[in-house]
Amino acid sequence: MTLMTMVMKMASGLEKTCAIFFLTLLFALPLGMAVAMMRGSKIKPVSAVAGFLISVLRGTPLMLQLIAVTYGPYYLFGVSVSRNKLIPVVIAFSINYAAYFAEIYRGGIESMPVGQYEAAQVLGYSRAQTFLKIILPQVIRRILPSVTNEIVTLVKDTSMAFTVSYQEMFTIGKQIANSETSFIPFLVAGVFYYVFNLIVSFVMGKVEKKMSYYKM
Amino acid sequence: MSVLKMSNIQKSFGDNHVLKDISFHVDKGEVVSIIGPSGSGKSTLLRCSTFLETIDAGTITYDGKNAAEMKNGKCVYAKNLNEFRRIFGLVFQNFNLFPHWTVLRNMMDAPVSVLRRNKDEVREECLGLLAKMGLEDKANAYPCELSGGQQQRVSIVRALAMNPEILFFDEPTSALDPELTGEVLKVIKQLAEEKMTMVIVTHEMSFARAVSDRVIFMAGGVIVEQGAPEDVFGNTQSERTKQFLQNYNNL
Repeated sequence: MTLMTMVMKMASGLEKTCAIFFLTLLFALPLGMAVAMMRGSKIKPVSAVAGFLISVLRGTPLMLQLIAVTYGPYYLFGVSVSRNKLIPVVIAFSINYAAYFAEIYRGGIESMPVGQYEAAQVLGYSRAQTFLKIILPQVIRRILPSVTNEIVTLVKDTSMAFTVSYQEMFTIGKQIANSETSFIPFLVAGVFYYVFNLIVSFVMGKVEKKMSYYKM
Repeated sequence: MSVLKMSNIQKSFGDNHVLKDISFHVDKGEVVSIIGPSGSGKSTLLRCSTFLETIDAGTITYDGKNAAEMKNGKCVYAKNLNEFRRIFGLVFQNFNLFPHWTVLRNMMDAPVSVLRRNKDEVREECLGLLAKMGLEDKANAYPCELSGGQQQRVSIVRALAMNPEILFFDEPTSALDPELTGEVLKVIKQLAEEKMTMVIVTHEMSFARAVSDRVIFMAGGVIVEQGAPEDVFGNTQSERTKQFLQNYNNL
């Protein structure tokens, strides 16, 4: 197999790599906020449940979670494994990343000076208004570098989908590497991820710059 | 009628009894300064009157209505505290402006989104207030682009934009150097001349003497002495007050 054919075959899996990437961000970013809210809740059981979920999701390998979400329903309930593995893959990635995002959000929210809440309270803002208009915009600005970090990791983690044979770029590359007994597909995969992350860094850099119109 | 009346206020943080049976009132158009050593409870008193701290016992009355009162030996707050919050404004020691908003948005947002007032009308009013403070060219600046004195003046106009009946100042110049202190005190003096009802917690003795109708000296969680500035400063009664003022005069 020529290098060109390898690259073309692997590139055909990029669509699925991107699907995991964008769908995970789409679900994990808001889900993480919901978990962070639960974690910071004054109702003890709610906060405890969120804390437990976060600790399990961060304390066990993503690979294990992928396998559990994809094949778990079959072993537990006898439900046949869905043909479209995108669904379980995105579910596993989303809950895993939501746990990490939740901790980033929590750190950001806790780093806000209490004076911002007090000023809002004296001016008569409701709790929801205070959070949405005053706290959240500043938190987003503060946590952006950590979020970028997670997004860069996510790009590389999409390769983990090979454990459940979801036909994304790396899975295809691994299959070619096996059948051709060649190391080249791994180099190609490395280049693909690197370029993907160059784009991510460029975009997030722009966003960070756009948000730094004020100093804290 | 008094705008604010606080009676028999008690407040403890754990074992620390910060306010021990404090009673005082502020009449319309009156400027009251609260002076006293650090840890005497001045700021806590201000934070209690603006509901940033909850009192353990006592009564807080604004415009004749009870915001907090004793029921069956327990202190109970009114349900509609936000309606009481419309009566007062608070200027913080460290400004607490919203850094992600321009000066104008800092001023306009609460009147528009809390009081539901007309946006254009509020904008007119806010621009007028800024002009009065000599800050008209700062309307579109962000707080980080202003000096400390300008930031504090903006936080004063942010409070004024809500049209409060009474304005509280919690050590408004303690975070500023002497030069910047002057420009902020000038603004407060101007408000006093316009008969704005104000309560000022401050360490600026000569300012308190010049601007106030009444001075309250607090120490150890109680009001030790209060009266007209010329009496408290010129004809001091209590030993504790004398001792405190002497430390200032010795400098």
